[in-house]
Amino acid sequence: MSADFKKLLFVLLLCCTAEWLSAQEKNISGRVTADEDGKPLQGVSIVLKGKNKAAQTAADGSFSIEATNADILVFTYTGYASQELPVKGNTGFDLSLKSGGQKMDEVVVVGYGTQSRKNISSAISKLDKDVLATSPRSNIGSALQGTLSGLQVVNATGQPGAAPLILLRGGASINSPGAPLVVVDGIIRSFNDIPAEDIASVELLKDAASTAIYGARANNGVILITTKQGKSGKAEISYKFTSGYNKRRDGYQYLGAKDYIYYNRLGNLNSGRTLAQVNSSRGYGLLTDAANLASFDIRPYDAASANLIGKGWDTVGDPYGGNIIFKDHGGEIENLVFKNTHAQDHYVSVMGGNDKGKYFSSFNYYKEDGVIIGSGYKRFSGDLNGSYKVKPNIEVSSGINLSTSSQIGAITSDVNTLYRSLAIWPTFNPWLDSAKTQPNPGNSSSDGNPKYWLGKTDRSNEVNRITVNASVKWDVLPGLYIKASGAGYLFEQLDQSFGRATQTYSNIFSTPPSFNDLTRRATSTYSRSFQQQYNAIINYSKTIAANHHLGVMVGTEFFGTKAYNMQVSGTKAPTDDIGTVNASTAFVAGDNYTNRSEYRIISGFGRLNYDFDQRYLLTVVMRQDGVSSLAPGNRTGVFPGMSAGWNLHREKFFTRLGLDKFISVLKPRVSYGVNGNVAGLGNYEVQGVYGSQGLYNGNAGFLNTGLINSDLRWEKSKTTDLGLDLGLLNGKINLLFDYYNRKTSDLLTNLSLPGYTGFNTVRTNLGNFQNKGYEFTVNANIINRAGGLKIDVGANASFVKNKILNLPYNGNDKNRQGGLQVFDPAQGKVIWVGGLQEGAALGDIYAFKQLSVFADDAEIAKVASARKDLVAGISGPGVVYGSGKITPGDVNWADIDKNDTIDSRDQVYIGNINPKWTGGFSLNASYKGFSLYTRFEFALGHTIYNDLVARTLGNYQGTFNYFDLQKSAWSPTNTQTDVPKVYYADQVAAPLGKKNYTRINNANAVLNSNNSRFYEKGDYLACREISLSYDFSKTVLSKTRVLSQVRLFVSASNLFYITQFTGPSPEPPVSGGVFTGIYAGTYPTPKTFVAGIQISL
Amino acid sequence: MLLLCMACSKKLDLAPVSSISDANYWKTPDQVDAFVAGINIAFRNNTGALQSLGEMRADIFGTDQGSSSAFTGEATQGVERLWLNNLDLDNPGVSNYGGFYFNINQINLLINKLNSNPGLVSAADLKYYQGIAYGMRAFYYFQLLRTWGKVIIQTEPTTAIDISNLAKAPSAEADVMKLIKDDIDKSATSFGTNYTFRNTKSYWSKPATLMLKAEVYLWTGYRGGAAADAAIAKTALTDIQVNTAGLSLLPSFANVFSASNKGNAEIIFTVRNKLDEAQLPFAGSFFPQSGLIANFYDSAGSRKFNVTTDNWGGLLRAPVKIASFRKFDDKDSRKWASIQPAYNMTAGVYTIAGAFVNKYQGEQSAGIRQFTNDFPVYRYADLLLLLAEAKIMLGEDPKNEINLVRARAFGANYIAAVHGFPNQPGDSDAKNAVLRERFFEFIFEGKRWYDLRRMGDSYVFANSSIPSSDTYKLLWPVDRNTLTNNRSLAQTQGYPAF
Repeated sequence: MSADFKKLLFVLLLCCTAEWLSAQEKNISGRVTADEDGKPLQGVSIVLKGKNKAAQTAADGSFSIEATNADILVFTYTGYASQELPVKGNTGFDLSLKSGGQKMDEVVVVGYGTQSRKNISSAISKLDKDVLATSPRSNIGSALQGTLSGLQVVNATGQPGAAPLILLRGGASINSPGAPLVVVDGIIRSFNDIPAEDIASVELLKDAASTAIYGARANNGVILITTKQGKSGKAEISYKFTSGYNKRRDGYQYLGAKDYIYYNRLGNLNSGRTLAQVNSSRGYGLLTDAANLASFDIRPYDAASANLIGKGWDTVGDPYGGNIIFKDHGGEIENLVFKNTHAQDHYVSVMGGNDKGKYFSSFNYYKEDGVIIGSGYKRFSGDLNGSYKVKPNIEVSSGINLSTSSQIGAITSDVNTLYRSLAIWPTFNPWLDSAKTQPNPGNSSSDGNPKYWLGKTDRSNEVNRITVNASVKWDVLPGLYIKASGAGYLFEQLDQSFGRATQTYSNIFSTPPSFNDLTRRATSTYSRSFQQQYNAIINYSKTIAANHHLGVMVGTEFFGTKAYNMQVSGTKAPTDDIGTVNASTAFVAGDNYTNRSEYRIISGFGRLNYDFDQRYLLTVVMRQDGVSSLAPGNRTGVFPGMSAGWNLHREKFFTRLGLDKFISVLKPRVSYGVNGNVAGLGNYEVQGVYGSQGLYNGNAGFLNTGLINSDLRWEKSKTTDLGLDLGLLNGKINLLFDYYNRKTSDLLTNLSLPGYTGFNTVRTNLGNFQNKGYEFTVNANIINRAGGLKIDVGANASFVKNKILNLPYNGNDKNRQGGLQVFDPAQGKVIWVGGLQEGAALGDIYAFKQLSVFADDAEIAKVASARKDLVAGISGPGVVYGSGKITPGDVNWADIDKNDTIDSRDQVYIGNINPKWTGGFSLNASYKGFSLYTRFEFALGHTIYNDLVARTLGNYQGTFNYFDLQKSAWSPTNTQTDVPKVYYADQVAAPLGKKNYTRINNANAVLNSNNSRFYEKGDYLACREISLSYDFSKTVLSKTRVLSQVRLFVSASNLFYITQFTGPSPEPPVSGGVFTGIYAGTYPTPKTFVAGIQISL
Repeated sequence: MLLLCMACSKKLDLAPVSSISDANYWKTPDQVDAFVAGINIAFRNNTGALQSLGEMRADIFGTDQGSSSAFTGEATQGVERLWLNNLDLDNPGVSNYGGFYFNINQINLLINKLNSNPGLVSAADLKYYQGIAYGMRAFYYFQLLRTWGKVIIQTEPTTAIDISNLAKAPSAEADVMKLIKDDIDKSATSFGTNYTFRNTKSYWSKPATLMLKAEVYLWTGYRGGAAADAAIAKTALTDIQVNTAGLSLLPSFANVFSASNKGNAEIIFTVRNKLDEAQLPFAGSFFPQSGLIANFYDSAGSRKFNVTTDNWGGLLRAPVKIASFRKFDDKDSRKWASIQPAYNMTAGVYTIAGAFVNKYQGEQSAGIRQFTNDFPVYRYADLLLLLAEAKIMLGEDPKNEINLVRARAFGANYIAAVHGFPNQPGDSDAKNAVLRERFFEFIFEGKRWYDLRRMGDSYVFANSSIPSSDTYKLLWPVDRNTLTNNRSLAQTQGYPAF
């Protein structure tokens, strides 16, 4: 790059030193006021268009600047619409700036530059600044929820600090959808740990024409985040403090001990378990050993135990006969697991500058405990950036951003916490002593008192992110500048953990007491990646013959990242007292490692903007990328993009027809472009891999685990986007509409290989995938009374439909991979459904259909006399088959092929795991100093398999508690119900279980082939934010002579979901970065209430 | 711009640091050594499949007392389909041909590289490694043949994937058997006169090849090969006895499997497990949860189980049938060394509740039981009983071999007139006597199902839950994914295809 580039620079330098313009300059002065109240505005920036001369207004709004008659003065002030006034012989200007500015005039960051919304012809969304204004956020990803059309943002977990799953336009890939590329101030990095208050703007590039400038990595869209920079004007010091309260979201209601004992023992009875078997079960059994007596408050009711009545014990009739006495500990573990917590957020910033230099600096401290015990998030971050004009035409900028954070999750997995800890035996006493100081470990970390296990485990997490960037911008000529930038991004993560010796309740009460685990594993894991980016761009803009506006940008970039990972892990320390690895005595080969890898991309890119009279707009973008992870010959890719727009409202006929009275903006747009993707491809994968297999008798083993795959190339997606920008009633109502059709070809798709090849899958370029959809955004100013009530509403909605167009050839019909066979009554034969098939969508669900629950023997005799249920191994009264009979309370399955046999063919389409419609809306009302902001988000069309309900009601674990829904299960006195009869362990074959819930899945959490009763519609409307704030008036503040802004606010986040889904969170369940469709228990997002103050000096 | 990139393209040539790419492998002898170790690791990874295929469908496991869960209350979770013999394409018991083709491909690659570059390792290592490779490949195909009948023959390594030509049809059983016998011969020839063991018997060896040869020829002997094949089997077995030093039965049966007695005199070839290296993969479903077993009694030890010493730490999916436990003579040390019964006690009276595996007890490490026992594939008792089978087929007297095994099993209790062959009830049928002896001797070693299958279909029907009307169940079904991924495959005859 360097040699050629230097030559180019030198030539340009020669060109331009020759002609420094000089002209007659004179002094221009004037005063700037605010339109709404006529008060002077201080700090308004005045620059000469295309030149480097600038000035600012003083406290009284006055300014003065030297300019020629040919110059144009540009007035800009944050929060106000900018104005351009030609000098043309005037020497004095008094003007007023209108507040707010119009959506259609907003400045939009487009990647290596900015553009006015007026001139944009591609699909770009910009985040409304109100979203980030009030609510504190542990992760700014949550701000994107329902605010940007085309973006699906799903809370994978409610754990503080965790990033949500983000998908653009349904994701561009079959195997792993992939998240949009995130670029923060030009640096490719994660947005985690960036304080919301540091952010100046968030833009989303959606179509290929806008993302092509990021070429190879932009397949899934680009999120551009710009952080606050200094601005010229009076120095401003601002402090914001927020204090929050998190309230856990209500979940399912579990039974108290009385019902728990009754229904579980009834279930055992229904399953034909003997009294001895029941009594040897944990929780509802009557075990007589010391450990169980000490841990479970349940006894046979007899003369010896009768005295417990009156000591908080109660009795229940045993379905096996007799009575049982117990103490109810229901909800105690739940109350230990969940707690209401606090969050606090302190933010200080300082900014200022003059016509030469600008600076910005901030510091943030954020701390939030999760509503699940043991989880939490903490962050310190600092930002410092500045720029200085070392020469009138050379500006140097640099910035540094540091953050250190700690994010820790629940002690067991979220699923375990939500299922096991909550469904734990309500007869279990979580404490060993009456003072409740010694927690009972129970049977394991997920089946006991979490306090015990938290006390036995030390965990820490530290994530450090440092970005450093510097750039030089040289305005060579009016309209021509060269900018060179360099950036480094260091990411470090250090995780440490230590497990002390642990016991279970049986160990504690065995004589002598023993330990169940003395491993004492100490682990320290360090990973680091260092990323470097260097780029240089030349930007030239010129107006030719008054109406031809031309902008050209070309650039080149180097991107490289080096990763290093290290782990030291040891076991068998002699003591609990040393929590680091130095006390360990055993070190296993695979657990101790270091590894390194490297990845590079070298690119060239360019953009051409042309418009004629701002009427006809054209943008052409091109990028070429070379990437190290592909084989030579296939490693470079070219990604072009083109977009065109027509500002119809600027046509003369438009005004002539009088349309401009109603329609202020009418801009049809069209764009087309190509993006690439190699994400998910290992750095060295295509070279073939010989990987370590571990040890055999102390010898290291290696095998060939990856084939050479030199032919692999870029995944390419071609997107056509048709859009319309519409401004009505003088910009009071603005609409953006987009239709897109994205076809991703050469898709990096895994092809399942026949077993004889010795490999499971091979990565190919053979898939084609299509996303089609619509996106709407509306912003309207409904009421705007000067100095009075102002109401704005905004809404957006996106629809997406995915389809597999091509799959790698494997000879099957529709090149199907995976799937299952069901009987299709329409065709009268067995067909393949699900899995991956050409022409089909992703995420279709098939399952057994529950028609009803058999009320009585008569109904069974009528409907299912000759039925054989091959799944459960049971049969109707008229046929001899299997290990049990269909009895009242069992499910009446739809016999799709009407052959009196229920087997895997009798499944029907249930729904799809992916939402079809997503979006949100907001309302912003202000009156005098008060303003109210509300924001809602919705997703429609997704179906969720509620494994948590099926697992709990199906009693898969055998001894755990039920929800109150169990009370409506079939019983001789409750025969009209859709909840099957209570059995012990539904997943076990008859006679114990009848597979009424799990069907063919043996209790595994699998999407397909369960009981249709437990699939639920996930459609929801979420109330994401309601904020009320009050700004003290400028008049009051000016009396203090110090304060320039004081704002008080209260806010509530995630208040409620309106949904039919019965669990705490109807959001599509996510695991490993993809939608699973299976709700197994998700860390619920808490309801958050905050109060705060913001003061600026 | 284009030129700019081209100039930089060298910067994009990056080689891996922490793994090895194809370009750098097969250059040095240690790489070959590591690859051979890798093949043994892959073999070890097949332990679960070998055990499932070898005995789970026979008459060893099951839930008792009319229950469909283990006596401890744990759910069998679908494992019961194996012993109930109601497998189908969605519940195939073992899928993707046991995953054996992964290692077959690696072995093919090793053979290919050794043959094309014989100078890569020393002459002695070359021969030994070729012996291992051909021997193991024959072992895998013998598993496949006995389980699925017709299977795909793949003897070349996969180096590139031709996507348009992936479907491959299975070969006739006769062709598979021919490959097995050819590979056995190649292996034996490569080993030559080298009967030594490597890695304390955890590597394949010439004696292992000869054991396999005996098994294979006995199999074909029962299927028409008759005396000629039996003679080959007998020769192979006596070849081991004559040429391999130090092989014998251990005095203590339990000691053969002890985690601290690896590679002992009785072992011929074993899958090696080791602390912090690998454990028996099936232990989890063979052993009960510690807290649950603590509710039961061990009548032989007159004690209640407790979580400290009975920290089995599993989830009992595959309990041993009480009937299996009761088949053993109380004086037979193998009874107690192989199976652990559990009792309820009411009013001082023990009643048996159930039983579980005791052969692999693992070792205690930091308060946790680690199942670091080796999984024996061939051992001297196997040699003796195979030899007895060969002799029976040849019309010779199997007494010596059978009684060596019985005498060791009964130890001090052994009375030749009572326990010796042919004095036990049922000994009149010598073939049955060997079969029963093998049940006692090799329970949980993955042999029973293959023993039944080897001797003939009627033995399977007599000793499993399969009725003689369901002959198709002698072979296993192919799972749905495997059928999907190779359209030239068909479901095993008799199993439903949907």
